[in-house]
Amino acid sequence: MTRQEILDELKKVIAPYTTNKELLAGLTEETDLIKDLKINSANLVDIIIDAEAKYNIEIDYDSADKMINVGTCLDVITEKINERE
Amino acid sequence: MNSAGNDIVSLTATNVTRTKSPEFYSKIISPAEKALFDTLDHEVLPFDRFVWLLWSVKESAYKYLHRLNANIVFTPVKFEVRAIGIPQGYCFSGSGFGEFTDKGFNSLAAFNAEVFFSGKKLFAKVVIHQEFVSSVVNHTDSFDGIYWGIKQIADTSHACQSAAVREFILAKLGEISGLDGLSIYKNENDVPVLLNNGELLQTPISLSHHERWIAYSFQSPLTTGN
Repeated sequence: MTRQEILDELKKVIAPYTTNKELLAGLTEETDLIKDLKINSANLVDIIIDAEAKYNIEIDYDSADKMINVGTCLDVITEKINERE
Repeated sequence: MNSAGNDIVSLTATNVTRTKSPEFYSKIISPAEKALFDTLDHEVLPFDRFVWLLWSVKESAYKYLHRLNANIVFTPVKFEVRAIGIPQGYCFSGSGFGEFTDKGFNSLAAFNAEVFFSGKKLFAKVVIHQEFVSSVVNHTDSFDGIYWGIKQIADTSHACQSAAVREFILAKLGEISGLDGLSIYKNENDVPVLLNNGELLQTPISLSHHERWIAYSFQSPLTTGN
């Protein structure tokens, strides 16, 4: 998958957990999940679980720690997809 | 070690089936904590509420420690809850909770918990209601000097939650201090700090909101930065 393809799918993963649909449509690598998208911290585990299912990967604790903004989410997902392949 | 940490989870916003699935709860609780659950009365504390109790205590502990050390990252399984005390005669509360404020935890049945992170031990008080789990942590097992509040709100937009919880805590802070220039802003580490007419106060505060519920905690007395 290209980074853009991963991003397109990531938007679908994040969508149920943010009410800021306008910002979701215009995500950048710097968009912060909590500060910008106002995602409740209790939903971050949901996003990790959903991402694992979406990309058929496993995200360990240390990798999950890095998933603060869209760019770091893409980095972790890309890394895990590459490990799988 | 003067800080503040609280959290509230709206149970109506959680998915009970998902909460009970190993792929979900294993991101939050450790095998040792799962073993701790096996020792508890499951009638009083079913597994889904146990998971969210632990989440809330861990988040509160993270907030408490993050205020003191901004480098700390919130990894739930690295915050370990080693003890939970169920209040004597605890009866699950299902209604009539619109707003509650108090100092200490002497007038409401609260669960006790002990949580460890990187060699540090913190204590927690947890209030469980049909619609929420809310926790407050402290570095000692005395909560007599801690003010806390929980309130239900109508508008669940983030902007309204944020404004409502600030209004809620400032009303209490103003009431007990007599100060009329109080305001809150978030510092460079995303930690809420208290000002009076622009002067930094050293009173640590903690704010939380989730869906229709907002909560705060802070430690008295109010002191200035000088």
